[in-house]
Order: sequence, then C-alpha cells, then structure tokens
Amino acid sequence: MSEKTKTTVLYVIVFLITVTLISRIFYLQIIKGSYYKNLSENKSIRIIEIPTVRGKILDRNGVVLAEDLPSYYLEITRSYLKKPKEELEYISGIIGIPVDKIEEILNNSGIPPYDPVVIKKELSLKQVVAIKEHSFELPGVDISLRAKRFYPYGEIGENFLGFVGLVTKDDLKQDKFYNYNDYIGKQGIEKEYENFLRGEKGKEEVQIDASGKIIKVLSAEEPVPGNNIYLTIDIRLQKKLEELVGDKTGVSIALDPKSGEILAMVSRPSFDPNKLIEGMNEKEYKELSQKNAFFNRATQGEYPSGSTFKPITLIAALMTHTITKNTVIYCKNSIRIGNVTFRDWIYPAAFGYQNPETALANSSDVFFYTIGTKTGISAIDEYAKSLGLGEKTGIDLPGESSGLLPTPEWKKNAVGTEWYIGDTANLSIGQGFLLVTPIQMATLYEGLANNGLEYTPHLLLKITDSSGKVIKTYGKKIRLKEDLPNDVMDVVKNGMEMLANRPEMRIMKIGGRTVCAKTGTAEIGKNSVDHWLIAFSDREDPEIVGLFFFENSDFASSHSLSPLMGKLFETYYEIKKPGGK
Amino acid sequence: MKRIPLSVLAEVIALSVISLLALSITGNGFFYVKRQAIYILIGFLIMYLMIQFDFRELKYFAPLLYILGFVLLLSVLFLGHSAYGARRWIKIGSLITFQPSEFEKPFLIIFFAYIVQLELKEHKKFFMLAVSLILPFAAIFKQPDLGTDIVLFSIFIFVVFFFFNVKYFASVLISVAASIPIAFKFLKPYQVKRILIFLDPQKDPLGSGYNVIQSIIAIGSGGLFGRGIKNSTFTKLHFVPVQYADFIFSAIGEAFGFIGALILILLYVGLLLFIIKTYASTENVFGKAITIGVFAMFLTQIFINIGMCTGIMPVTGIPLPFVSFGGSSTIANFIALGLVVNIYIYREEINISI
Repeated sequence: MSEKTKTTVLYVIVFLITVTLISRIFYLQIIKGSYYKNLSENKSIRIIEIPTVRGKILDRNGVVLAEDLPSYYLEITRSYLKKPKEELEYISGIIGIPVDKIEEILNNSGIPPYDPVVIKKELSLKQVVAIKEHSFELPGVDISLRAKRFYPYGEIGENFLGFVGLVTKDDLKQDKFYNYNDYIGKQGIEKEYENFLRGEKGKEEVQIDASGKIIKVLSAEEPVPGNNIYLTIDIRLQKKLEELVGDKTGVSIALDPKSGEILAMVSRPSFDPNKLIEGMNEKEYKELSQKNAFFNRATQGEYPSGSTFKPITLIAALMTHTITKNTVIYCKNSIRIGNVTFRDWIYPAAFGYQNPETALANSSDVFFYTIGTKTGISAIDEYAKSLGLGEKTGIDLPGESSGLLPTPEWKKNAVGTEWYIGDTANLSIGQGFLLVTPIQMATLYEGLANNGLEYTPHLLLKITDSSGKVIKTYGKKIRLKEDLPNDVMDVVKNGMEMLANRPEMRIMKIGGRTVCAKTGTAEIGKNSVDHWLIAFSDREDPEIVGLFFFENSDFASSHSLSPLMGKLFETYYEIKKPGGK
Repeated sequence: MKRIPLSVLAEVIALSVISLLALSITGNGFFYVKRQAIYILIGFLIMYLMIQFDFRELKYFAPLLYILGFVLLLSVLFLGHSAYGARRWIKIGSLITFQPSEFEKPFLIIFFAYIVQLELKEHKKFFMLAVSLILPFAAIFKQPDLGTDIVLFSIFIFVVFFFFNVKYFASVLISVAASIPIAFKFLKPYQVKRILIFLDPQKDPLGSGYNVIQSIIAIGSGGLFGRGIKNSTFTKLHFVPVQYADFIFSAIGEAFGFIGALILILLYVGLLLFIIKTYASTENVFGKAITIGVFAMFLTQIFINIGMCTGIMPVTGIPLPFVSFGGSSTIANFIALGLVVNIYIYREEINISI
C-alpha cells in the first residue's frame, strides 16, 4: 500500500464514521425528535415501587392481632405542582391543615422534589372525592391507596406486639430495601420479625405525563406480600390477664413449661398502638413516656426478686449438704450477722422451729439468712447462675435485659468494696444487689416445675407465607438443663405446695389440682414494695406457669395476689377444655 | 516556533467549554464542573510541556514508559479501589485517585511506535507487538474494564494495518473471529448481559437496558435546537444514570439539540483531520506510528461512546474524549493530543534532516 492510499483510507474511515453518527443523531433528533420530545415531556418513563402488604400477626388460634388495612393518603410531589399557591390553598380547605403547615411538612420532609411527600393519612371518602374531582387542576397532588397498620385489640398485647413507624435516616442508610414513607417495625414482634413481615416490593415501569400522572404501565414485577407470624399467645388468656392487671403498674405472664411457649404476657401501663400510628400529640406522648409505657416491664424491667428467690437458696443449701430435708432451725424474730441485726419479716413475732418446707411456706427470713450464710455465696451464685439468673432468657423480643446476679468479683469491680457476709444474707432472701426480669423469674419457675429443665421462653409459634404454607416453626429450644435430684426438688415443691394450700391461697387450686407457689415482697425504699406471686399447676404434671408482679404495689400483701392467679389458672383450664380451644 | 496550531487550540477549547456546560446541567451543583475545569487546566499545561522537546527522544524512554504503565496496572489489581463493580482506581493520599488504564493508552501507543521503528525482521516485530499488547490487555481485563481493552485493541489493529504486511492484519482478524465464542466464557456476567441488552434493550427495560432507553429519549427530545440548559428536565431529573461520565453525550443532545451534537462531532472531525494531516506530512516512522495510534484511540472512543449513547453500540465504559468527566481520562487525552502536536511541530525539522 502506498502512503497515499493509506492516507486515503484514513479519510474514508473518518468520513464513514462521521456519516454514521450524524445520520443516527439526525434520525433521533430530527426525524423522531417530536416523538421523543413527547415521550420525555408528556410520557416520561419512570420506575415506581409497588408497595407490598406487611404480613399479619396472629395468635395461636389464628386470631388477627395486627394487620394492614387500606387507607387513603394525600401526597404532594413538589416538582409537578403547576401553581403551588392555588393548589395548596385548595387542598388546605379540604383537609383542614393550614397552608403554612403543609409547606412546613413539604420542606422538612427531606424527600427529593420529584418524589411524593405524604401530607395526610386516612382521608375520608368525602375528601378523596373532593380532590379526585379536581385532579385536573391539581397536578402534583395525588391520592394513593396505601396500607395502614391496624391492631384490632388496641392496647391488648401491645407490650410484645410492638408497633411500626416511619423509617429513620439511619434505616434508609442501613438497608436499601427501605424508601422514604416506608414503615418499619420499631418494637416488639414487629421489630423482631421485620424481615419476615415486610415482604418484597414490586416495581413497575410506567409512562407519566408532565404532571406526574401515570398514563400507561409498561411492565411490572408483582410485589410479594409479607409472611404471617403466628404467636404462641392465646388472645383469650391475654385479654383476661390484661384485665386482671388493670390500671396498676405490673406484669403478668403465663407460659407452658412443656415448651417455653408464652400463652400471655402483660406489661402495664401500656397504650393503644393505633393512636401512635394515627399520630399522637405531644402531650399524650409525654404522658405515656413518663409512665414508661413504651417499656416492656416483663422483659426489660429489672427488679429485686424478693422471696421468690428463696427456692434457689434452699436448693444450694440442700445440694451442698449444708442442711438436710430434716434440718430444724429455731428461728427468733431476728438474727445477728456480722455486726448487723437482720429482722424477720414477721418481726416482732417469730416463727420458732422451722424445717425447710415450713420455712419456705412461711417465707421465714431468719431461716434463709441462717442457711444462706452457712452455704456461702459461691454455692448460691453457682445455682442461681446455673438456673439462668443474671442472663437473658433468649426470648424472641428486642431489648431484653439480663438482670444482675451479684458476685464478690462483681461487687469489687462495680461498687469497689469487699463482699460482706451481710451481702450473702441479703441475696439469700432475694434482696440486696440482685435484679431480675419477670420473664427470668417465669423461666426460673419453669425450671423448678421441670426439676431443672428450662425451655427458652418464646412468642413465635410458626411463620407462614401469604398462602398459608409453613416456612418456619419455632419448636422448642432447651435453654438449660440442671440435674436437680427428685428428693431435693420434692422438698422445694412440698414447701411451695404447703403455701398454696393456705386457706387464703387455695383459690389457686382449680379443679382440686396441686399447685406450687411462691410469694415475694421486695422492699423498694422506705414506704414502697413490689409484690410477686409465681405459681405452677399442677405439681405432678406441670402445664402452666403463672406470674404476677406489681410495682409500687397497693395490695395488702403478696398473698393478696392469689385470687388473680386463681383467675389465670381458671381461664387457662377453661380454654383448654374440649371446645374451649 | 513551538506553537500549538490555532485550529487545534480552538477545537480543544470548544470541546472543553461543551464539557463544562454539559456538566453544569447533569446535576450536583458545580461539583463536577469545578473539578473538570481543574483537570482541563492541568491538561493544557501538560500539552504545553509536551511540545518543549523533540518527540524522537521519547524512543529512549518508550520501554521505561511501557514498564511503568504495566506496573501501575498491576498495582490496581492489588491495591485498587473499586467502584461500579470494577477496580480501576488507585488512591494517592486521601483525596486523589487515578485510573492507570487511561494512561496506558498513550504509553502503549509510544511503545508500539517504538517497536515499529526497530530494525528487525517483520515477524519478530509483530511478535513483540502482540506480546506487548497482551500483558496490559490481560491486566485491564482482570479489573475489569472492557472499554479500555477495546481501545487498546483498536490501536493495535490500526498499527498492524498501517505498518505491517497485510497478511498479519488478516491473521489478526481471523484469530479474533475464531476466539469470540471462547471470549464469551471469560466475560463477567454483567458484560455478557450488556452485550445481549445491546442487541435488544427492551429485553430488560427496568435493568441495564434502562440507561440506553433513557439516553435515547434524552437525545431525541433535544430536537433541532435543543431544550437549552434551563429546560433539560430529563437530564436534570437524573433519568440517565451516571450521566456526567460515559453518558454525557445524552445531556449535550438534550440541551443543545442536533445543532449542538453536530458541532461536537465536527469538532472531533477537525481533530481527526489534523491527525491525518500530521501523519501524511511526517516521514519519520516513529512519529507516523504515534499519530496512527492516537488516531485510533480518539476515533474508537468517539465512535463507541456516541454510538452507545444513541443506541447503535453496546454499553461499555468508554469516556468521550475531552468531554466526559474524569481527571485521568482528560489528562491522558491531552497527553495523546500533545504527542501529535509535537510531531506536527517538529516534522519539518525532521523531514529536512533525513
């Protein structure tokens, strides 16, 4: 090839490529120009998300506790507003929100101008019609049908159900799934099983006109509804327990010791999550915060256990052979330990001769001071730990507390002083530094009922997809297994049975069943006490553990909780009867 | 006089202005505009420095530059910093990142030209040429950066066609045709997808085909005169993703219309004609080979990039010379053009001296 030919080849290449590119842009911009202009101006193609439906939460029998209901939302997309002033004024007249308030919502939304901002939820049908009729004059204003979370039982079960709320900026950063205006589980089961409940969004390729109205759907991927969560809760028992705790500040738990299934769990005061979803005013919110209503006392509250701890002291004493089941101790009205005098709760009276069983039934403090200090802190700590105190139970709820099981090392680090024998005395009766959560105590008594076997307490029964196919079942998980010999446990249970047989406590013995129970009174400061009552029924074949706990209690004594426990057991057996389930 | 020809200077300035205008509407305020303006200034400075010496001295540095380029590419693979599914950048300090594969283009052109002017048997030279292509080609393929590989390969083909017997050219074509099915196996899934989607963008309008469809709509909507900087809503609403980089032509098409796009293309034609003129009027083989390399580099990038934005070429990450946002690519373009300007300036001296 001559140099001249080569140069010619270069010119030809430039020519051909130039002609190709120019004809292509000529075709796109001149020949099809108006077509594309139309497409971009009036029929822009956008990809929009199709929201999905959040899964339901149901009780063990399929009663709905939380579900998505349709609700009309008013949305404004700022870039599509043609005459913002007039349009906002018109809307303001219909929904009754002042224009400056609407502008405030728009400006503080943090949402890009070409994405919709929700102005009002739950429009009435009248409002929907008034806006739809004028949709032509209201470009950028949309009514959308979205899902609103609804809790049919309101306040009942709120403590474990939790609630949903708008995503935060952090949620958006952490998980690409979420978009502005999305809801996310904030507490309870709604949060714990968020990934199962939320479903999968669909997407849709649509043509929209200059005002953002959809002209045509070009293609779509259908959303997948969220999974349904079946809980171990029985709503009938739940309702009963909510009623029993009533307006008092307290907790009630009913669980099945054969599996760890929680049949009911109450923490009060609580609130109606529907009100939170609809938007609560600041005053209401503040009041609830002050009452700690957003806090699940059953799993997050840490309290001294009082005498409900005594079975552990007894087990430690018997297991270490510090005492035998026949040991008798003469209990005066007080005892001197170190250089401090510890009084019995019955002071100035005294219990006199006590064996382990009567001492547990009477809850004699002097007896337990004596055997506790003899047994020693390390053995008590060992058995308390091996039965799960000081550790989370592993319940499937977010934010569980672990309580506090004090040890000499802990005291040295946290308080800075040595462990005194008085500390051992205090722990022996469930006072001092010890802190427990109600769910820990319910689980502990599950272990006592089962001679040392504790199943992890849980709320999840099974998860199904929207068509009802089971995806996951919880089954049962062993939390811990401590080998406690029958003769030791018989002593403990004899004491608890003796207590349940007291005239004022007999009310718990439904259908003549043998019930084991332990009361507790924890002193909180000078004039305030917390009351506990934990019981299981029946002794031979335990199938229900019940717990009541009242903070700053106004009951006459812990024994006064037994009618409540009686009602708990009664309702449980009522439901369990054939036809009841 | 060592002066950049006025026509070339005017063309590059015009391209730079178009680049800055287009970046000002692709969004993010003046973030990209400010940066690109700095890159352009650095580019002009480098081009000016590049005409201060006789290009023939580069011969002595050609192997060194080649090794440097290759080492930088390898370091990307080991130290690189990834974005958009590929590792292409090296971080220097905390602020500056650069993309060695962009600089590999001028480096390889110089090394190819060096091989071409060696006094060796033709088959030996061809063998050297092929090996020196394969090393950086493989390193870039591993990143992966298909676009740059296409440009390097195109430079190779042009050099073979213009400086070797036609049978070498034919054998390259045949071996490429034979290896296409094998090559498919080595492509990353997203690359295979892009090629398939190029064949039918409507196949996946929600996914990868989306860019092309949106780009075509943006360009088409520009019409004859364009919608102007203020009204280019399509571009402003970010319908075309990552528009400041590889899809900048769609912003130009929407804002400045057919007239604007035509001016852009004619500016490129002007540059290419200048390169041809330099080629034709230079007698030094080293210089001739460099001009062919630079010609191939610009031509390929212009054609594939505009072709991609208008839907006649598959989507590959190839920037539009002097217009797409990017420090490494902008500076590499100035280096390449500087080489040609240098040859143009020194050609008479050289031609006389021979």
